[in-house]
Amino acid sequence: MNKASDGRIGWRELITMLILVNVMVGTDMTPVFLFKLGKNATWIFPLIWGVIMIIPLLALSSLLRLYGDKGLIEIIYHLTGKYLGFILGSGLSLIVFNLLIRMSSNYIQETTEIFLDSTPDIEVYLLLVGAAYFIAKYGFETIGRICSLLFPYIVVSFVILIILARMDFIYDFLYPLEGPGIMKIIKSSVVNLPLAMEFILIATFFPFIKNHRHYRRGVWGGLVVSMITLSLILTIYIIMFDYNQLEVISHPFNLLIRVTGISRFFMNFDAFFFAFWLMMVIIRFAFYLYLNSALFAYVLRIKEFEPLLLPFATLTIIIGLPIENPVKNIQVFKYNLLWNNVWWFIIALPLLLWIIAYLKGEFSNEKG
Amino acid sequence: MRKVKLLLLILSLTLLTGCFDKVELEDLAYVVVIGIDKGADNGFEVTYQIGNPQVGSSDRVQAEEPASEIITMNVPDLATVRDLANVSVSREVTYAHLKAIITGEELTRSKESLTLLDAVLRDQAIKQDVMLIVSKEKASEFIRGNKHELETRPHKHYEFMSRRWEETGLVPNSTLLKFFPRILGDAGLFLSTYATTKKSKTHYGYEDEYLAGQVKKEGGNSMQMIGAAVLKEGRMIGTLNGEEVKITLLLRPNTVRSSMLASYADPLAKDKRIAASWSKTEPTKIKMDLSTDIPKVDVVVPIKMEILSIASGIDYVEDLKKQKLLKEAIARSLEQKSMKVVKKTQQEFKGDPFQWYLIARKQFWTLAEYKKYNWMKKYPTAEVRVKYDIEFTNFGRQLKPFNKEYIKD
Amino acid sequence: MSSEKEVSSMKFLRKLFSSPANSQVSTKKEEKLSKNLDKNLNRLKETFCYPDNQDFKIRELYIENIQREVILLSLNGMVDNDAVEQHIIHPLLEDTSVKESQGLDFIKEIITAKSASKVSSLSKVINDILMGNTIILIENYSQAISVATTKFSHRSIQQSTRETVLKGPKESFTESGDVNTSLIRKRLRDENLVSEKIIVGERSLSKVSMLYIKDIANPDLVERVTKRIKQIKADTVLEIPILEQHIEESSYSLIPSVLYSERPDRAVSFLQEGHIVLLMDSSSSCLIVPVTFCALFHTPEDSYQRWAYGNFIRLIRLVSFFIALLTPAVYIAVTNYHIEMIPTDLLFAIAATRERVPFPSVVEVFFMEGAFELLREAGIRIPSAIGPTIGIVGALILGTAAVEANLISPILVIVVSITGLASFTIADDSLSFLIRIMKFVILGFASLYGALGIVVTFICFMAYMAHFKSFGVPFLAPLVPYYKSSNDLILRPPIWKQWLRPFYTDPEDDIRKKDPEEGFDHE
Repeated sequence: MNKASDGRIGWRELITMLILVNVMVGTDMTPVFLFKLGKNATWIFPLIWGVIMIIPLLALSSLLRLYGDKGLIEIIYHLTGKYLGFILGSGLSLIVFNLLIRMSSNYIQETTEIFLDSTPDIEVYLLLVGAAYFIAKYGFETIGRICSLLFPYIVVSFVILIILARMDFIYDFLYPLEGPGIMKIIKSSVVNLPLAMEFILIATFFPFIKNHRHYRRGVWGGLVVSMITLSLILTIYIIMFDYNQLEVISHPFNLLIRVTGISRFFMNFDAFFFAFWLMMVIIRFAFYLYLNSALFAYVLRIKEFEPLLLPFATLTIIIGLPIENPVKNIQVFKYNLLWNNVWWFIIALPLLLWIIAYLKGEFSNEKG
Repeated sequence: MRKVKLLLLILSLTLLTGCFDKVELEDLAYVVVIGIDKGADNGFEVTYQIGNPQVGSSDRVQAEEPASEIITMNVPDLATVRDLANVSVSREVTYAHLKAIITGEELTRSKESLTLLDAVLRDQAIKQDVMLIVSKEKASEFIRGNKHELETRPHKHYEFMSRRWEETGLVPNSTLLKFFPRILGDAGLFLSTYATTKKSKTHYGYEDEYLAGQVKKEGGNSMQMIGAAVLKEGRMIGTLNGEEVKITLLLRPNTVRSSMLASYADPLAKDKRIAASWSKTEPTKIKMDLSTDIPKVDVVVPIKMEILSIASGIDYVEDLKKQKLLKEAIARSLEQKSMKVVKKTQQEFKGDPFQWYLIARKQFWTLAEYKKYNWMKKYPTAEVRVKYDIEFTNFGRQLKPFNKEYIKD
Repeated sequence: MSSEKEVSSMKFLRKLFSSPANSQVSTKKEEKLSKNLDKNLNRLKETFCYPDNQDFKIRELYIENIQREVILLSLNGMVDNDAVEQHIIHPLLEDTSVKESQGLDFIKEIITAKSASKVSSLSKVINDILMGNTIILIENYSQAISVATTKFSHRSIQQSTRETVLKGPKESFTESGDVNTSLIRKRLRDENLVSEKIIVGERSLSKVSMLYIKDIANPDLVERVTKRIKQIKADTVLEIPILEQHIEESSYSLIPSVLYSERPDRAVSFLQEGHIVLLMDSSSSCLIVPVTFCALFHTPEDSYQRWAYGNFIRLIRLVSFFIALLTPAVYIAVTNYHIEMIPTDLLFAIAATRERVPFPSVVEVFFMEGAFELLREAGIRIPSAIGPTIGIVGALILGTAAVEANLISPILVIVVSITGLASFTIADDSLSFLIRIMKFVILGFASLYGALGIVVTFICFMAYMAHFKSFGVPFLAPLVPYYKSSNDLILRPPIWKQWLRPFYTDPEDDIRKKDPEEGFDHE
């Protein structure tokens, strides 16, 4: 009966979802190895990612407009046939699965080490992944709705964080501007491009989005805002703590929230910001859980994938538990064969699909 | 109904778990101050000052207990102290409300200093706004000698004192947060607050030419906190007295001070002084020329002054020529003092506590070039020029000073 | 006669214990009145358990000019005796202008009651008598006349007890359908205000009035609600709260899907946004469907006060919503898990007072919260004579004496009393229960996991709320998903700027009034 309770989301939900999920990258342990590469010019990285992402996104956008109601995986199958499509799709699926597990164990370790020392990992895992599963079970719509509901408040708390931290900023830490040198910056940033791959993968859910206009607004707006915000976050890290310290600290975001507000007021506000950070972590988990199940199901041509959520959640917990400590996590994460080659895969895939569609003459049949 | 039952089952599971990390407030011993000294056999002597919550609370039954408990232990390394303290302390030791870390001068001058501080950084529980104080005597003696009479609780004392640096400039803002970038940046010196409770040779000087312990005063707390200990790469290499600290803070690019009191020699009446309150509202302008091997540094410090008292009675206020004279006299004296400090840092300390390395960084495009230049090595040979740009903003409530002869009759 | 009694009582028992499908109702449907007056009368006496049932009144008349016997039947307590005398008996006996030939059409000329109709089926006759009509049986006619003479006694219009406002009308609904309808219609004089009547309850035959504005409300919604009401298979649906529980979509959920209100002005404001209002004869309240979070949260006072004052009240209520929900949990999380957050002085104060208390913080909090809920329930039932005394005793015992006896620490008294006070600012009953229950749930998780527990519970609850739908309308509309509306969400704009109807009800007529930019100018 109602126009909008039909399971589709609009651009407002989409843009907030993309921003919240993507910005979280700046608050876990990934900045640590980014800083090792980019030193004090790391803040340029997200901007480069944004620029490079434009081309694949354009290709993807026109492909989606062509096939009105197909998601990314369906387009892959349609254009490249069964076998190649299966390989490409499962490649994507494995990448995301890998990311989900690494990321989840990362967050859990961060939470337990800093805040809840003696809580066993499995408890925190159960709570967080359980909450994420609970949200994801309600559907894509609900994830979008929660994001757009919480977004203004998270923005407000972020602004408060910046205002409180402002007094410790030393802008001179940004110099020398080029850091390790322009070529090195570009090389290191490109290798880490997959940190922004949600913008490509969101195309899997294109059937869940109201129409192409909403998709466009959501994705482009999300790209611009989240890249700028990421850059801002990295800048704040640099000007608060110098790049030397950043290569050594294990959890920069945590340090940031511990340090702000001290001796200005008499309280340590870190638990307050921790609460908002946790909310975003749960939302990110829920999104990735849903994405993972969707990719897996679409690749295997299963229509209903909601029942797959529970097995994936459990798998995440089981595989993520044995990872012993954050350092091992980063090493495995970073030097994983799968990870190092992902960046060109992500850029090339939409372009490849577009070229195939062009050659097949699909575009000449387009409405117009 | 089945779903509800399942849910209840799962929920009851959580009841059997959880409650990790829970602490009860009254079960904890809150360490307010840690003192670290060199101990026997390469170990450390650690002193805890544990605050007593009962004292000062509006509790109906007033406990006859001291405000804090001070214990000292000999330990081989810092990480194990917490548990060892439970030998005699009945509660669980927590650093959650730690306010200051005091290191004895002997320890800070020794080689173990950097390893000590590294252990402190690693400890997750220690907050970043902890004050770092270097005490002239052993830290355990300092803590015991610090009898704060006006404050009921020890932590309040340190909280208040840690904020005074902003107003007086006599001690630097030495917190853990500032410590690590300096050390790791490998380009500057770190200034730590210097304090003592022992009286040393006091001398009578102008308000800030003191080092801790030298101020002649009677009564009150025997603790004095003024001046700074200079640490290079984690080791203490010297001290700066209060005035030198003030000047150091002035020469830094970023600090903005509210108002501080000072007195200067009267240019026309040789043995009288002029008291002024000055503030620095804009950042110091520092220009560097690093094109050659010898760096050239030009510093301009903008200061706004308010004249508070003129002891000699000479009218510096309404006579514009005399104002200019006063300005130049004060500027000159400040510049002389600054150059003295700069020389001291170049020759004695061989490092810059003014954070000029930040400006040096601006001159390069890539980190590689900056590292190659090696500011730390080049600094002692730098040519530095300091200029003070003073503006008189106000002259107090009264414009013209009293004419004493006129009143006497 | 005795055999008749037996038969009727047997039938009664059978009706009582048989399932509705097999009851006599279905067979009754086909029976029609016969021409024989006595036969009809006996049939009806049997149905109404006469002479056991003294309320069944029979009045026999003889009309001269048509020379017929006429019998009036009614149930005592349901008819207006004055109306019966004046408008039925009097004209029937006095008016002599009736001719035989006109037949039953003489009701058009003689009977001066406001509504009268002909009935021929027995079940309709029985229903009408049960509705309070007076039935006129006439010899040799197979039709009877049913005259509306319903009058039930009810309470007079009084002030609303649960939803009080300082500024604005103070009337509330009473237990009479006519009075309630008049309260609504006098505010909204619209020819499109439709009032459909649906009968629910096999035995109680309660009449539910469904009101909506035909050119505003969404026809799908109307159909959905109608279907839902007609689906109710229950013996009796006595009161509006029972009806609420029959038609709501998820009975086990904490969140209500139907709004319950006692005030006609609230009902009217929802009507003109496209909602549907349900009234019943025996209840002094109404149901409003569908409901959103804003509907539960806003009070009429917000709109009646001026813009600045109304928003001020709303902000206070918003803050106290969070206080009532989160304070005990935050207290536990901070003092047990995140002690770095408290200023050192406060920490020492709490630690000092807690040293002599034997129980851990969590036990204290649960104990005090439980005691507060006890007080609250007791407060509703206390006879007003000893009410104030109990209030003082409760405050003394629970508060001061417990602290003196070192059972609880003094700061806890503050925490619990602030929570309690804050929960009183929530006007709506359902919402306040929601808060009270959720408070305990969040407190439970906070005591297990600290801030982590609070966040996890909170976000799961948000997800649940975002997903919940009340009659097809998302619960958190129009915040999320976003709809164009008059922005009356957290803070409200001035009344003259609220010119759009909320789109989530998908109304037919989107615009309340012209765009204010076109109208006259305000500052």
